[in-house]
Amino acid sequence: MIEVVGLSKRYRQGSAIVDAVKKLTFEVREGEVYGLLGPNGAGKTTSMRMILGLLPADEGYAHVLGFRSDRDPASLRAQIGLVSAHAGVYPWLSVRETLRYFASLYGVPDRAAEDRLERLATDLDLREFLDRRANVLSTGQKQRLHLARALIHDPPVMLLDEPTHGLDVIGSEVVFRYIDRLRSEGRSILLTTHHLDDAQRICDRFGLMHRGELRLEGTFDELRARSGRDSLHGMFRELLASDSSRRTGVPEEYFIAEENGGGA
Amino acid sequence: MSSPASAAPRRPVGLWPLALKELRETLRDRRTLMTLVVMPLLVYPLMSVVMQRLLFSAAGDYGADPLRLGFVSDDDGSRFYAALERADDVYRDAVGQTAYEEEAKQSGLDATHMEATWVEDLEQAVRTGAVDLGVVWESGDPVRFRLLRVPSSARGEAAAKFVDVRFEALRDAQVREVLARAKIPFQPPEWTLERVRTKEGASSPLAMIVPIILIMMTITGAVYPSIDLTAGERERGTMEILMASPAPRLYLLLAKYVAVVTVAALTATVNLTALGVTAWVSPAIRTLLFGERDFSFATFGLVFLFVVLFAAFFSSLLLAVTSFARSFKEAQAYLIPLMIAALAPALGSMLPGLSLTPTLALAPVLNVTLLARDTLEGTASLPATAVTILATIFYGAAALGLAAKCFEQDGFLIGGDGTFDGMLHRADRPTRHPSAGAAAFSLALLFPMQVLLATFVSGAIGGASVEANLWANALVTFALFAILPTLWLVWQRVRPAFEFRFDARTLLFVPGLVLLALSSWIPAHESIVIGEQIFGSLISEETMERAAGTVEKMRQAPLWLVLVTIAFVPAVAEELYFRGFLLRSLRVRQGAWQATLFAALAFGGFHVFTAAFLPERFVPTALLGLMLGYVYCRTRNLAASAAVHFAHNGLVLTASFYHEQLADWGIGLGDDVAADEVAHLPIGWILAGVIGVTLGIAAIEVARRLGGPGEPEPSFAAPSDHE
Repeated sequence: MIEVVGLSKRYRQGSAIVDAVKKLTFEVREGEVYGLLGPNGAGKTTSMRMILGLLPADEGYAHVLGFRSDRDPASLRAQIGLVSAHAGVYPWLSVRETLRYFASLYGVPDRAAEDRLERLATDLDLREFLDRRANVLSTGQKQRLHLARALIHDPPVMLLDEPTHGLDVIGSEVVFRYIDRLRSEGRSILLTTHHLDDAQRICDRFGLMHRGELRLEGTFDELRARSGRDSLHGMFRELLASDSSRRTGVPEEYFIAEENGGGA
Repeated sequence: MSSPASAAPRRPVGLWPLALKELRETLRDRRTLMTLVVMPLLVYPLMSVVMQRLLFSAAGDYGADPLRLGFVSDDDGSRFYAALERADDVYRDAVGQTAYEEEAKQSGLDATHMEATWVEDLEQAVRTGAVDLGVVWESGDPVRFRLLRVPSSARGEAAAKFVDVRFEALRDAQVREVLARAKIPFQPPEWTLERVRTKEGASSPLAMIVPIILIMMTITGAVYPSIDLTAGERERGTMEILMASPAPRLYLLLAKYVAVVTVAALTATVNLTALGVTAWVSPAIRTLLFGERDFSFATFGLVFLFVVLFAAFFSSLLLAVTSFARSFKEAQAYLIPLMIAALAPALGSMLPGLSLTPTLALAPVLNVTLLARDTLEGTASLPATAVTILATIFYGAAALGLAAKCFEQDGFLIGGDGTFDGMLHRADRPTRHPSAGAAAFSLALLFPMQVLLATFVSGAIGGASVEANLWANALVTFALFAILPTLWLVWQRVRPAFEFRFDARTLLFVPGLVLLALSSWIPAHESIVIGEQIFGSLISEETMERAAGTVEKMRQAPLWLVLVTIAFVPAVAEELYFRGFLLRSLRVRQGAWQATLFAALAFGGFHVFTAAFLPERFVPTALLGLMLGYVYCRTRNLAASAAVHFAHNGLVLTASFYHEQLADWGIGLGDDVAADEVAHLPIGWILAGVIGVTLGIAAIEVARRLGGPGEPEPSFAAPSDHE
């Protein structure tokens, strides 16, 4: 469903050219959760933005259900629901108004939008907040609103960029359970997260990014066989240690904190 | 839920739901409501009170509060009042009972309206304001006294003036009496002081503050939503999810623009309503705004339209600026210089004697402020009004184009330097057509340049030879409409649109083009006649005489020179710009007919503003523009539209040169300016013209079918966010 072919992005920093993403190639199949993992600055968010056509790639393209990011970004976007850690809410709109607005942005007919809104309100336990303004919602409720907003047009593909950012353990659990459900509905999901334990549990396949490159890819068993490590944390430490001469400044302790349940 | 193979069926994204959301968000925000409702409700009543004080003090009206006169003793007071009573009688006799009563009514002052106060330290009492006027009585025969007052005290000044004029009258009467007794003839000098206003109908200079307040309040109303809907969205993190939707970025921008303009227009409405109500209930404000004229809803309606026009322009400017900002704070920092830049010309409009000329009407902000002032005064002129309206529309479109370009930048999600870099970055690859934003920019640049250059050339070499004038005009036309757009296209790496092709396919169109070229001047002439009949009353005698003089002068030059400078050069240069640049860029987002119509309207509009203001030229030139746009769209060849343009101009000019001969043949054309009355063509000619144009169009349609679509036009696709 998602096919990423040689995506590259370079930035100019002063007189130097920095490769944010280098020749990224992978695919996410139907009904699969693909974990695109990596430390901060690895290029995950930039990759997602290029897949959406929000950032034009210097090379390569993404292919989603027959639409290419460089040729028909609008049609491609219509197939995707995005949940981003950086996203906020419209403080003066109610949950219902927010969902209706996004339905209109995606060109969903009114009737279909209302049906969908009702179903999502039930599924995501938003019914009692529907007419409440978004700025009074708790963090967990806002995250459920983000999920509902991303699903209002019933997209076959979901891009989840750190969807549990800022959530407590219970909140994260709710989100991951819902991701599981989305997979069971046959949606293709590209997920980035720093919750490696949860990722290990929920993702079907993984892509480990570092310094803009995809360093390891495969199912967990394949990665374990290839790296000789028993956990994603171990694989990351291995990845960073092997690259110590070109450190990005991301401390190894970061992953240890993750292993201990700390957030990033 | 079943497994979705693709997203839910889509319908086209409409602008209205997007704009409705932006409006809902903005109007629910208390900060918007503050500037929209609370501010006007405070400002105008407050202004009314201040103005009332100013006007009343200028008129010397002090209401029911009597003026206080101070004396050091009872006796002094009694003697002074006795003398004042005598002087008042004399003064009444001198000015006449009617004038005396009128003055008392206007000022609210009479001798009984003064209160006597006895104080020990008179000077101190005057200084502290305990009394308005101190009277130091010195003697009763002859009367000698001194008046003490603080110059800055309007009440003291009024009391002193009241006393002064009466005792002057008494002194004059006594002098006359002495001279009469001595039988010495005496004719004293007499004079009156009258105010002459700078303009007919002009009201108080204080009225200038009203349009400035209106403009500034409208700006204030637009500032908050423009920041909130751009930098605010970016800061909140909602911009990315907005951009991740399939809705075209241009629509997202237009929705925000609609919201900002609506809030600005609502602010203007509330302000004007508050001002209107204040004027209705406060005679002082009414006098300030209208002078001696009646309160007029029509005037308010016109001012409202101008302020809304200004709101539309300034909102686009605000959006263009705030789109660069990453955060609310950064946007505010960007807007402070802009606000100062806007305030300066607005305040400049208060300069005495500053009138709205067509040249000054090109200055943004200043033009609308002066136009609002002139409208309130009832002195607005049509040329300046037209230039102000067109310039403001073009500037607004250019600012909106800038905002659209900003929205389409790669770095827009991040804002700041990324967006700036993208804006200044030259395209990596050549593109096939200029952008719609380029069309707006070109109009905003070329329109003021044309007005300024035409005025400059007319003033600088108006007295030179006819030949020099013709060459100068041709040069200006060529520079503006051929060189500048070409430089822009080269800079922007746009593939040259200047397709002067002479291939086999073009030959198919020749019969149709010839028919159009030969017959189009007939409907053009008729539309000129009709235009002059409609607009004739709008054109001043001076303009008509100047135009007649220009035609007469032109006839002194050789025909070949006139044809080169007024037919050939404009035909080539104007086709390069209006069809090769403007129409092509508009076609990126619009259908052929819309683009053709808009380019034709711009073509007509530009021809109205030359060194003189010629509104009657609009309709015929716009019609010609429609035809040339049609020719260009069908043939996709600038050579074709330029040839028809040249033939049209050339035939009209040649006919003008030989108008006497033509008149001898019974054809009353060519004399359209010199003669007192412009004649319609004989009905036979009109019929021939209509048939010629119809056949020409039919021949072009046939040629198009025979010749195929020709070279493909630029990808005139539906709006997309990557154009």
